[in-house]
Amino acid sequence: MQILTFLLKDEQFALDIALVDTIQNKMPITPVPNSKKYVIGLISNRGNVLPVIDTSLMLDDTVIDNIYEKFIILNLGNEKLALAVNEIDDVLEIEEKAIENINKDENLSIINVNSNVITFLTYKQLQKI
Amino acid sequence: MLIQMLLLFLPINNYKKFNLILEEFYMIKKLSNGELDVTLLEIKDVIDIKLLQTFQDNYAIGLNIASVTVDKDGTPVTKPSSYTSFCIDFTHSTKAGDDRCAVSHKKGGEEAARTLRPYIYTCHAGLIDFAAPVLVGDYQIGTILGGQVLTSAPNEAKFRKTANEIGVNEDGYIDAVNKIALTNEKNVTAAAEVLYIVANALSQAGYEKLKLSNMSQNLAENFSQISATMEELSASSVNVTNNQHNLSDEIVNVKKLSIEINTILDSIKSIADETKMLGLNAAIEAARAGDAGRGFGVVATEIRTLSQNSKETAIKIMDLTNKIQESVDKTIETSHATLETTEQQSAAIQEVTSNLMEVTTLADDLNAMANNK
Amino acid sequence: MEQSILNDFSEISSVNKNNLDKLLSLVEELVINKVRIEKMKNEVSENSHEKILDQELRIISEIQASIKKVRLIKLKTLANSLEDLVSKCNTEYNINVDLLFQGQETEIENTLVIYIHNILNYLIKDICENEFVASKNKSNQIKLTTSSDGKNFTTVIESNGKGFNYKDTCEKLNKKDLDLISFDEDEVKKFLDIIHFTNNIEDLLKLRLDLIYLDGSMKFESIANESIANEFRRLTIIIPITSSIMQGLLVKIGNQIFAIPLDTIETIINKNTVKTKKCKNTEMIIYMDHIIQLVRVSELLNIETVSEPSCIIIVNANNKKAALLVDSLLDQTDMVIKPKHSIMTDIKEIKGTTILGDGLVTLVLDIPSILKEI
Repeated sequence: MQILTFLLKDEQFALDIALVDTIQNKMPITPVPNSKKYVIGLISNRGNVLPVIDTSLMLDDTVIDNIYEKFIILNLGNEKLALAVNEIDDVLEIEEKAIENINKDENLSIINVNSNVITFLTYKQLQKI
Repeated sequence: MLIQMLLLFLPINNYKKFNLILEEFYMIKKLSNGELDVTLLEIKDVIDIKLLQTFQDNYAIGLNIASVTVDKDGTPVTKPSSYTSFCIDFTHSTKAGDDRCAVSHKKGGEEAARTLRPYIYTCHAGLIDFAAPVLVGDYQIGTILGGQVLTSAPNEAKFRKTANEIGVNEDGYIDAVNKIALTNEKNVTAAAEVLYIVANALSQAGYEKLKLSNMSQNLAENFSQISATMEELSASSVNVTNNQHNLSDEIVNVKKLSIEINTILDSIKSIADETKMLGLNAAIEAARAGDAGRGFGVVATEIRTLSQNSKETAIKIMDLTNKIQESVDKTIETSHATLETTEQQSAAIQEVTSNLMEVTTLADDLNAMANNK
Repeated sequence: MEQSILNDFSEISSVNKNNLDKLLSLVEELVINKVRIEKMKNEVSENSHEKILDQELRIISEIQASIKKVRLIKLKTLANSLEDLVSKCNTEYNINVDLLFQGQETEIENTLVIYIHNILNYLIKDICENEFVASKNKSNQIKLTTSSDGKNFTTVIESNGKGFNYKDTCEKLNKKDLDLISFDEDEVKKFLDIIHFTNNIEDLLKLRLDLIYLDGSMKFESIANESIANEFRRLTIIIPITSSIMQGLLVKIGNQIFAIPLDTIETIINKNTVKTKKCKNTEMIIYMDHIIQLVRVSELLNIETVSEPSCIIIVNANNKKAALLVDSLLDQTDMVIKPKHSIMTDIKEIKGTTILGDGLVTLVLDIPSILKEI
């Protein structure tokens, strides 16, 4: 299967390309009052209004003040959302079995690519948003 | 002198031509080092002939001694003074007599030349003659011949014999010889000495004056040449300064261009970034299309590679242009320094030139004075 | 059963031929204009630009109207399916019910049709199941009346059954596996009864999450449930005809712009012109001899104000009033409100989003929610 790799700060992450709608440069975000803290705000994309998620913050409560450059627009079910990331790397082809679950509840999955350990974001993780 | 003055206003390169004419005018011959060639001097170069003539005439009348001045070839340069009738009317009247006179004079002159002192001798006709060399240094430029006197009563028979040899009337010849003044040897020696001293004094003075004139002329010439050279130098230094300015402008231009290149490179880099995004979106679409999108996925990968290469190339070029800018900055510094130097040079040359002009003027004045006749 | 019908519904759509033709010809005009626009891109002179742009705007407006019309389908299309439902119910519950469907010519948006269909399905089934005595003899009737007056769409269900019982219905619905996340009596009341104002679409959507797509704002105005035992039970559902374009007031709170739907606004006044009073922790203003509660919207939204707020907007919804204090007033505008993203479900103060001329997303305040909150 194909995965899209990207960077949050200096850490590598990946997700299934099937979930990805498109990628784009950052654009102005409208903040939403009283929203969850990892929701940076809303953007307008091709006529749709989508929330932008502070991906670092969502994954790890302690990371703050990350300046994002790119958005990954995801298609989750019948709604879209945008993950704010620092940099987008590449599209890679991997074996599905290359994805290893670290702990039982599938909260942490990693892929080993060329001795690079990349954190894989599962669909379940993303659905929680 | 007037001509020399006029020459000051003529263009420098014509100066040489006119100098040649001048040489001919003054008939001054020069050695290659600019000094006078003594061997080419004539009496008229160093002594004013009119003055000499006047002196010669008055001297002849005063001392009752005939005299004439000849050049180094024996050709008279003055009119004979107080020549006796004996010589004029008789001895010189025939070719034979004239030739004998010439030989006699020549011999006398040669002897005088050898000793560089007045030489008193008896001429072919039996009169007492003297030859006093006119010298410039140790070089003879002419001879003053004089005499036509007797220190003792004439031997008639001898004179008659001479008359017959040269073909003149014996009796007339004897009458003429009896009219010749009788003087003693001491007088003749003294007379010759006087003539010798005066003539040589005049020639020496004249020679010195000539030498001075020549030197000052040389000086004036040299300064003119220096002036000419300085002007050329000045002109070329102005040229250098102008070229330097142009160079400076060009260098600044190069810097501007390299900055422009950097701006373009920035936009190339952002295009490369956009291309990469496009490539990734293309890969996403290709993945979505499944099997049908496989070929497109390959294209997408190549687009991404291309964008990466473009970015890397742009960065390399940027490195180079940055280096160019550094180099240009250094060049600008050096160019400024050079410009300062050439400007200083120009100023210095201007100063020298103006000083030179002063000196040249002085030399010319000197020359004018030296050649003032 | 419902599933398959509704599935079919979502794939097939009947459209009035004339409406569709009109829409298509407008789209063609748009395509023709494309060439002129491309030319315009290259031209420098701006006189021709204005003309072309005006034309473009005209075409787009007409398309908007046309789309609305195309989306309209007659309720007649539901008739067959509802009658089928009734006859099935007759068989299943051993009853004898007639369905009287009036107002079949009423046109509503095709999205609404599915929605209405859902509601009617449940209601009819429920009525058949509960309110009619199992008996082939007694003739029962379900009367369905639909009408539209341009502004609102009204559905009235009347039955001559025994009456509507909340509790029973709740339990029954509870037992059904409806793929709901949370489901309690109050929520059931809300969407079955719809006694008071809600525009909580989630509740309505919970009927059939996977099928309903709502475009534009939907709100239930008033539903009167007149239920008299043993007589006609009547349920009235009034749905305002969705107008995609609403008018809103743009205000500034802190550094951000918000929109307030104009139809909730009563009046706008300057804070300096009214007297304020404080009572315990509540601020009040006195306006035209009324005492109205002052709401500092910035505090509600946890936004820092940049300057002393000076603008009061008196809003009115469901006979409840409030004076909203905002930093400043900007402009009035037309806006298309999109329903809010699921991630904002919890944020009661926001009704939806709109995109203004500057391309940025602007949040639309949910006035009824705010009024409930204070």
